[in-house]
Amino acid sequence: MSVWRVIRRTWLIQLRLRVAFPISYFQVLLQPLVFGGIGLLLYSAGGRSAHLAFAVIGGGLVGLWSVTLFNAGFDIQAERWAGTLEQLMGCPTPLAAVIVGKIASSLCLGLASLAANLAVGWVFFPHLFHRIDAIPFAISGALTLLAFFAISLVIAPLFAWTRTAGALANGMETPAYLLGGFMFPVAILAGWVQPLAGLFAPSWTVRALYAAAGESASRPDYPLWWGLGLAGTAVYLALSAGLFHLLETRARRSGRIGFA
Amino acid sequence: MTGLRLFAHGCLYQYRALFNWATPLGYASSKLLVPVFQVVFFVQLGVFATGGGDPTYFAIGNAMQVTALNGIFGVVMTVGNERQFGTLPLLLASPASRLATFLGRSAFHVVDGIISVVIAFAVAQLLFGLRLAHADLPLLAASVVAVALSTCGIGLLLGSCSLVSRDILLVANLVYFLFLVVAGVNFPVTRLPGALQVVSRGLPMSRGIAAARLAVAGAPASRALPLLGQELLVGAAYAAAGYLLFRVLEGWARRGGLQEAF
Repeated sequence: MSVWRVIRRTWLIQLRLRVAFPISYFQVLLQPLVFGGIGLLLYSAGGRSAHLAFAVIGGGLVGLWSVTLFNAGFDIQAERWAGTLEQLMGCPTPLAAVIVGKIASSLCLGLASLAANLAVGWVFFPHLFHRIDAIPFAISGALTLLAFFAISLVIAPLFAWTRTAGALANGMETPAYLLGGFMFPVAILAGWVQPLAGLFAPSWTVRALYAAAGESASRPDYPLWWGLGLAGTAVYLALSAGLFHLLETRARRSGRIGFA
Repeated sequence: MTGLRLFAHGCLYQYRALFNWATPLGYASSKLLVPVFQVVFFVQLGVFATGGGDPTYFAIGNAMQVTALNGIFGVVMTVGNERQFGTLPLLLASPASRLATFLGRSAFHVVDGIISVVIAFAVAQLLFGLRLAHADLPLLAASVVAVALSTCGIGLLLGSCSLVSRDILLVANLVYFLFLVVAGVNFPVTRLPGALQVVSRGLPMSRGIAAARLAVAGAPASRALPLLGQELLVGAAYAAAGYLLFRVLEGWARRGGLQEAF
């Protein structure tokens, strides 16, 4: 079976499974709407309605990250619990191909989350969409998805080494909201946090996304932000390749892949 | 085994069982990262969104709300895992006092929830300079205890529901985030639509948070104590409903042999 076919079939099967899983609806629809709603109430209460894009887009980004993080964190763990991880490791298809298919399905749900929040925003705050610079917005959105995809490919093999994947995923959820500048600019965070945010690739693409939506205090520097976002994404992909290699090598040597 | 001993052992063992499988890293992730970053995120969001609003308001609301991590998720998992891990039939077959067993599921989470709030307040003080100079600290402590107890009350009800539902974590997540919206955590309850204000009044936490804000502001105890009384009553009502449901489901499961049926 070709690698592409494995990815495509895994994507389809996993998408069907995720759609049938009730908590997906919470991650995709309810959680983003709750965060978006809290953001709307706070921004409008503070008389800063000009910044409502942070609530509308931010809620969607929260959903996108939640779906990405939790699904990537559990993708390998779920195979382990189902007793199918050994078979996956034993077959000639690279484990990474299966995980890529699974992550692609997560990103589809994450994209649905972003789309749902934007749709709600478009209905209630159409003026926010008049100031969007469409082409940079679309490019920034695509690069954000790519960055999330690359992070998922790091998280999946990393979390496969521990049985506390769930607890770690819980702990990593909110820091990304801060470092990524999902609902307010990263620039307001303390100076020592800025370099950490710079290492988080989506923070650059999200910065570009908000600039394209008219939320930038300074003149947008898209080439720089996209370039840094892509550079971070490339680093994540290289790191992921190393982690998958390490995981497979150690699993084959120890024969204990089913017992993290 | 006496009821009291059963209660004490239940408290200790169920808490250890919940975290014993976790590495210190996993425990620290749940215990520290989640509450700390929730407080930091919402304080930053609140201050920026309101154009330099008082961080104390957001810090108090979110520090108090982290009790729900224990009260909701901890208690629900402690009760629900009995079925998940196949130990429910053993529990139901034992002659132990059901009330002691049931309440033992939540007691340690009350203490743990209080510790979470203390950590969250410490972080808020360190990072945002939470102003406690005029605070009535005993009253603030009473507010924290009241909220920790009342959220465990609703956790016990949800935990009982978990004995017949396989999607209880979905409900637990919903309730946790519902608190963020309707409990006056990040904005006053009076800013919500009328229907949500009714929901807020029917849930724990909003009165406890209001009392904590009064305590931090140094308001007279006579203003905060009625709120704390109501908070405890609401929590007790949920716990009583949870126990009742637990007994009903136990009888139902015994009659039908359905202890582990989903």
